[in-house]
Amino acid sequence: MRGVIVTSVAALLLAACGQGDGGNNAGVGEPETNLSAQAGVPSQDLAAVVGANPRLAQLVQAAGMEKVLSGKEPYTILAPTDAALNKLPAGSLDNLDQPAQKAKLTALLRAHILPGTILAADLTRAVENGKGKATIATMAGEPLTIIRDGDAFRITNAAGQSARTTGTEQPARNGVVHSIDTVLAPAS
Amino acid sequence: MKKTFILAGAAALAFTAPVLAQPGKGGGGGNGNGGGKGGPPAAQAQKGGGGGGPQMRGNGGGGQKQARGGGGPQMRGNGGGGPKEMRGGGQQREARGGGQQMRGPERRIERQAQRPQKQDMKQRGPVREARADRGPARIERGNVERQRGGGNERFVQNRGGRDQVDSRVFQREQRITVNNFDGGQRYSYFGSPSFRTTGLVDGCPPGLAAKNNGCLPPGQAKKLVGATLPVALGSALLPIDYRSWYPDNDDYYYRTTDGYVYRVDRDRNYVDGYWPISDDWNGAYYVGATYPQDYLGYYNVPVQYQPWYADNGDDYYRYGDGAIYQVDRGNGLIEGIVSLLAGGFGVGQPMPAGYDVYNVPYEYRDRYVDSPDNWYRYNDGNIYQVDPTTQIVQAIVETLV
Repeated sequence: MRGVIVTSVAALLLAACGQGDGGNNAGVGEPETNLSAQAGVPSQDLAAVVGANPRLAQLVQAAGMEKVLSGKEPYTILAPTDAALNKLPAGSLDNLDQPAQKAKLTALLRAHILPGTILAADLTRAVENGKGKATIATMAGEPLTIIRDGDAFRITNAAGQSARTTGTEQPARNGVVHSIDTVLAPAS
Repeated sequence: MKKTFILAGAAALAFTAPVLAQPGKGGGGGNGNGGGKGGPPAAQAQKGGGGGGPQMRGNGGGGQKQARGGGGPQMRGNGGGGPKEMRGGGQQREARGGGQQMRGPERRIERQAQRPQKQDMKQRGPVREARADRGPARIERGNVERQRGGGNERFVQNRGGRDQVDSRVFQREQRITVNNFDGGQRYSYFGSPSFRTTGLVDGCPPGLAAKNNGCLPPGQAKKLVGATLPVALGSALLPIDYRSWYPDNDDYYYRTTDGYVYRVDRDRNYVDGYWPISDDWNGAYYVGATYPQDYLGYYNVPVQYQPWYADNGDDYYRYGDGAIYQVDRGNGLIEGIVSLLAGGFGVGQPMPAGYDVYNVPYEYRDRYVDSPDNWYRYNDGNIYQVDPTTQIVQAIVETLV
C-alpha cells in the first residue's frame, strides 16, 4: 500500500514538473521549475525576524500578538520598515495602552498578516499566471492586490493605499517576512 | 492517477486507524491528517484529550467511538469526520463508560495527571494525542467525497437533508457539575471566584449592550441555552465554511441561527453553549479587554486548533472575531492573541478571494505542489485541495496540528 502511495506521489510530482507552468515554487529566473524555491526551514521564528525592527516589535507586543508570530502556524508578514512607520501621521501610534488604540493597532497589524507562507517566488508565479496581478488574503478580511513593480512588488489595499516591497524576503520557521515601505491601514 | 493516489492514501490510513487509536484517549472531532503524508507518526497516536473548558469540555471526539460516529442516524450535521465509524468519542466516552463525566475541570485534572506519560511520547501540547485519531477520519472524508463523485455538495446532501431533532430519552447518569455552573448547564462567571474577587462587571465590548446582568448580546440567543433545541433549528446547519471548525461529534452537534453557534448536548438534545459565529470586526477583542462573559464559559476553539490550545490552570483559550485569545482565568481579561483565522474555506464551495498565491508551509511543499489538476492552499490550520478550473474547494488534504 505504501508503495502505491509513494509511487503516486512521485508520479504526481513528475507530472507537475512536466507541465512547466503549474508550480508555485519557481523563482524569477527559473519559471519552469516547480521546486526551485524549496529551501530548508529556518530556525528562527517570525517573532525573531520582526524583532529586528524594535519599533515594529513594540507594536506587536502592545497588541499582544507575540504568540501569533512565535507559534506553529504559518503566516506571511508584510512588515513596514521603520521609515514606513515614520510616515504615519503624528500620534497615530501613541497611547497604545488605551483600549481604542489597542483595538486600532490590532486591526492594523492584522491587515499586514497573511495566511500561510507566501514566498517572493510564489508571488511572481501568481502574478504571471494572473496576467499581471494577483490577490492575497489578509487576517483583516480585506484582500490585497499584488502587481510587479520592477524587481519588487507593489501591494495595494482596498482603501487604495499602496506599498512596495523592499529588500529580500526573510524566511522564518513559521512563515516569511516581506518588508514594505508604507503602512497599509485597513479600510474599515 | 489522482484518484488512485487519494484512494490509496485513504485506504492506507484507514487500515492504520485501529492501530493508532488508543483506548481511553482521543479527542479531536473527526478531523485529521491525510492526503498521503505517509501516515501520522505513531507518537501522535498516543496523545489525546480535547479542548476542555471551564466547564464545557471542548469538542472531543477521536477514534474510539467508532460505532456511533459523528452524526448518528438522526443527528447528522456538521460532521467533519467522514464515515461514522471513523469518528469517535475517545477519551470522553471511555470515561463515561466508567460512570464518570470527564469534562471541564475534571478532565483538566486528568490531563495533568497524564502529562508525565505524554512527555515520553512526543514533546507536544497536552492534547496532541488527538491527532492520530482524527487523521483517519479526515482522510476518510476525502475518500467518501471522491466516491460520491466530487463532493461539492457533500455536506448538504449527506447530512443536511436528514437532520432531525433527536428526541431520545437518555438515562445516563447525571453529569458532574461544579460550583460555578448554574443548573449544570452553563458556567456562571458572576458566581465564580474570579468575579467575586475582582468585581469585574464592566468592560462589555462594543456591540454588546452593557446590562446589569452582564454583556448580553442582542436578541434572544441566550434564552436557548439550557433549553431543548427548538425543532426548527434541527436542520439549521452551520455555514459550510464553519463546519470543519465545529464538526458534529459524539457529544455535541452544532446548529446556528441569528449569527450564533449553538452547541447541543447530544445526549439530552439540549443547548449547552453558544457564541457568535460571524466576524464583525468591530474591535471588540483586544488585549486588555474582557472576553465577553456570556461566552467565556464555553470552550469554542475550532476543532483543528484544539490540540494546540487547551485550557489550563492559568488560562482559557477562546475564539472570537477571527482570532483565538488567551484569557486569564482569574479576571476574564484577554491576555494575548495566539492565533489568527481567516475563515472562508468550505469543502464544496468556491475558494474565497485572496488565494491566488500558493501559500503552503515549507514542510508540506514537497507533497502539495500546484499542478494543472490541483491547487493547494493553506487556511486556518488546514491545507485544501482546490480545482484550478472551477476554483471549487475539493477537500482538506492535511491538517497541520
